[in-house]
Amino acid sequence: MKMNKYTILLILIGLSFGSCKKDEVITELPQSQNVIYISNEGAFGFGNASLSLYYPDENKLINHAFRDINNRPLGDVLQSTHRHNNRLYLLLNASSKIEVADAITLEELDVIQNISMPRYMVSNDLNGYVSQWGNNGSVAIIDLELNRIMDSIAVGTGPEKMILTDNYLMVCNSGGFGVDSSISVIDIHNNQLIKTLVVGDIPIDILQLQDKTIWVLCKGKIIYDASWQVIGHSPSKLVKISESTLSIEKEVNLFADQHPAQMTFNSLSSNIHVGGGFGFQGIYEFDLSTELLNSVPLSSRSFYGIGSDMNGQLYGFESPSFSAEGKMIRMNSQGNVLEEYQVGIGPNGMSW
Amino acid sequence: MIRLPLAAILDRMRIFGFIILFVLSMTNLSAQDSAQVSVLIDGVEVYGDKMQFINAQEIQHFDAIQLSTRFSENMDQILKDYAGVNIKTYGYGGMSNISMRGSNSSQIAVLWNGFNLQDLLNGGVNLSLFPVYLMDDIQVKKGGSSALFGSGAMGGSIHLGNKLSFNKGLLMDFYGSTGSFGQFQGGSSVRFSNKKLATLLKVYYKQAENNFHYVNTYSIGQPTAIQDNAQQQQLGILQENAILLTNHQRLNTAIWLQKNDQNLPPPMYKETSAQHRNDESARGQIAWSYFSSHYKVNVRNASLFSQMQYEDPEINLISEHQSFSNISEAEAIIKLRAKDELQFGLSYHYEKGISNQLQQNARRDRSALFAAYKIFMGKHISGNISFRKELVDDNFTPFTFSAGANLYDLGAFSFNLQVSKNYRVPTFNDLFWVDGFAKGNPDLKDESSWSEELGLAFQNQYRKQNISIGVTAFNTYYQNLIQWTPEQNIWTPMNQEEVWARGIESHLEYNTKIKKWKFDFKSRYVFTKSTIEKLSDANSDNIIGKQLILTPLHQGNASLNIQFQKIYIEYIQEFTGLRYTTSSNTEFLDAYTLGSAIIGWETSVFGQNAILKFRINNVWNTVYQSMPSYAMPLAHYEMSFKITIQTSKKHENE
Repeated sequence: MKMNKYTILLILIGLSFGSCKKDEVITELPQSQNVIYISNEGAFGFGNASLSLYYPDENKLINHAFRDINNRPLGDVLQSTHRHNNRLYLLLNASSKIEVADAITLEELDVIQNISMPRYMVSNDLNGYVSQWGNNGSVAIIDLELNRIMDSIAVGTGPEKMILTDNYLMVCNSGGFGVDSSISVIDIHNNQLIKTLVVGDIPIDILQLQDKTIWVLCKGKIIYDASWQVIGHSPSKLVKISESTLSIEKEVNLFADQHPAQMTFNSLSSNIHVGGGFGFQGIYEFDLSTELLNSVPLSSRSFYGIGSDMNGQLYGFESPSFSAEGKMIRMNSQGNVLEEYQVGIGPNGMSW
Repeated sequence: MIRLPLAAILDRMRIFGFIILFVLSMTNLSAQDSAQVSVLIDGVEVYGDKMQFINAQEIQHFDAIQLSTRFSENMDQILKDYAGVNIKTYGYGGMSNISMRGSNSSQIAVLWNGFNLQDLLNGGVNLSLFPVYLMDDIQVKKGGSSALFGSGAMGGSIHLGNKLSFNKGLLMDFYGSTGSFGQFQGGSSVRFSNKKLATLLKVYYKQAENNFHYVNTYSIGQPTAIQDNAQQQQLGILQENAILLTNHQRLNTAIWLQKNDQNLPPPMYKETSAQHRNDESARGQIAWSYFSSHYKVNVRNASLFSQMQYEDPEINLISEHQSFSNISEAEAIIKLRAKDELQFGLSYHYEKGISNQLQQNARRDRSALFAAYKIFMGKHISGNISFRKELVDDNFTPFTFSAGANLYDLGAFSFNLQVSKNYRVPTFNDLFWVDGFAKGNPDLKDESSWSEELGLAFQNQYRKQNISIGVTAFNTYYQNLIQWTPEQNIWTPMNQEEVWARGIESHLEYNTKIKKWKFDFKSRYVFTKSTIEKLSDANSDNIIGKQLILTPLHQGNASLNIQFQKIYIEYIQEFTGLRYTTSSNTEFLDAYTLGSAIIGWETSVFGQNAILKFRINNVWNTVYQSMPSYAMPLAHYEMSFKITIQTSKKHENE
């Protein structure tokens, strides 16, 4: 008599066990081009990073989109996403890989390996550029047709966000596990590092506005003594850079002992919003006309990440626990809450 | 916490000294006692003398005979096969942690001859570094028993040791084993004993490539992949001695050296890894015992050193951690009447940790006073009670105790009731960790738990049939659990979490002999509901009341061993239920069940006893994960042999 393993076990111990819980699985996505990609880091080491999609036109949110469509987990620590035409690049920091998927259907297209702890990506018609923490910090140049690494450029340590101007790739060197204070400027015509600009402690975010103005957010740092006791802070600040001269035009101190990690340009208010990161409370508005920070926060909640969408709405991402789901808070440009949504574990930001 | 002035501490030390003098003075009082306690000389206790204050019904015991055929396995394998505990394995050959009764691994004490081996820095014990071959005796105690065994024994405890016997002559054995994925191991042991000396030396070496095939469910196209960067080497040496100094005094010594060198494979979500880990440990013990017919005195000391080096070339990280602890203990056991026994004593721990990530001068002093009493009332009732009070640096930990009653020999039935309060002191990482991202908290309180259990057992023997059935209901509430949370810009541990664990443990065992056939069936089933009742997260609405992550509701194992003369066949089936991987219970690892088959042949080679064994693990090619994203192999095999050489008639006559 042939018996399968389950039958044997049940007979042996005379007990039955409950069946597995089933999740609701999405098999098809809306075909809208107007979609916001929310990166959920997941719990480090658990391989449960996820991608949530938000469709502002329909006010519809879908979690675990990549997993459900492709029937496999995404990986570990989804640091960021980047859309290039009809492709979505998903940068998985702890997996040291970039998943490539269709930007609308999310069907898997390719995977880029041999990259070390990727953080953020920018692209032009020719190439993609990916900041990576591993191997002492570098920017990988991606052939967007083949989805393969063509070359890499050594930059500072812990490279984070970048911008592509008409002539330059500018990279924030945050220091990664340590401290850096520079912006690497790369000539994109020959992919050569041409200048390293010292801006302030832990440059972590960078924007170029429509008027070509470049702003860098320096997070500032906590200063410890030899026994790791806190003895002071360097301030967080916004640094204005001239693209033409590649020099600092202006520095505006933000907080003496608080350290925001993200900024976003809000198209409705035409101002920069600053916030996000561990231990930082609130979203503050930086008035571009006066170049001063409004001391009254738009929101007083603690967000792990912030963002703005194409309509000027403001988003905050709460990650109170990296073992359970976080929240996305949708707000108007003045910080008033419109709606809250449950997203994946550890949401850290968005792209569209 | 209570802060003590220096004078009070000095007073306490004087009390410590007084107790030692009192304990030692008892040896003089009994010097004229000529009564010989043969049982104390004949067999050398392996765990100190605290196990006798636990009801036998609460203990699962693997003795030398049971372990003799499992010589090539690690401790985690034998516990998975038979003990009904939760073993979490970070990939084949990787780190392996144990938990039971809804605890985490730092709440399970692993004791070698009564000394706790939990890592000072992280509280864990990696059971994959514990080969069965080095031990003669393993006991599993489910449920808290901190009053007896000290910090860490909240969810349960594992007790390891060797049993040295006098006057047995010379006995040697050696074994070899080979298996799938480049596994090779071998070892040898030598035992010698006469009337005054018993000595033991065990050595083993193991290496493995661990390059198995698996389906990578994380990769595009879900291809079959080969586990990479998973090579491993282990070397261990254990040497123990027991010397009978006089008819009333015995000296025991033990040294255990262990080295493990292994590459760490990438989890499935990553293509490559160059991570490497090296573990080294050196453990030594010395114990002096004085015994008479009425009491016994033990004075013991253990020094435990461990070092771990971790490298990750991808991020230029080399991290080295060292820990050292010295434990001194003095205890007396007094027989009061009939079988009643009183034990009391004190212990002193000196602990030190060294790491780039620890504050300088990370050290701790712990002194504990403990007492236990076991009483027999009539033929069917026994009771036990134990207490422990600990002083950590200049702070008292909460008072812990255990109290129980046992009704036995009521026909074939017996009952057991136990109530205990248990604790765990914070690890050095919890207290002293410091870098730019995280910082320990020196003001942490001990984790604590209240635990209750009620057991019913039925045991009967009829002709050549033995049957044993047991059911235990348990209820444990863990408080002040240490949880790392982001505060300002860094992560720091806080006493915030509370967990309620309750459930049922059951076993059914049956064995019989029919002519030349022996049948032995064993099964265990454990139901564990372990829910988070409180935590620090502001956004915790969707977490409270949910099952603890990686803790299965259902777990079980069953085995059937059929022996015909010198040949035996065993089939083992284990079941691990669904385990949630998020605190909100929205994601989970699938349940799995694994089958293993063993065929063994006990024979004679050149007149010496030999065992040949062939084992197939995961015979049904089950795809499963013990820990999220860590690949496990499909069916794989192991062949092994052991030859035991007896040169003494005394052994042959045993």
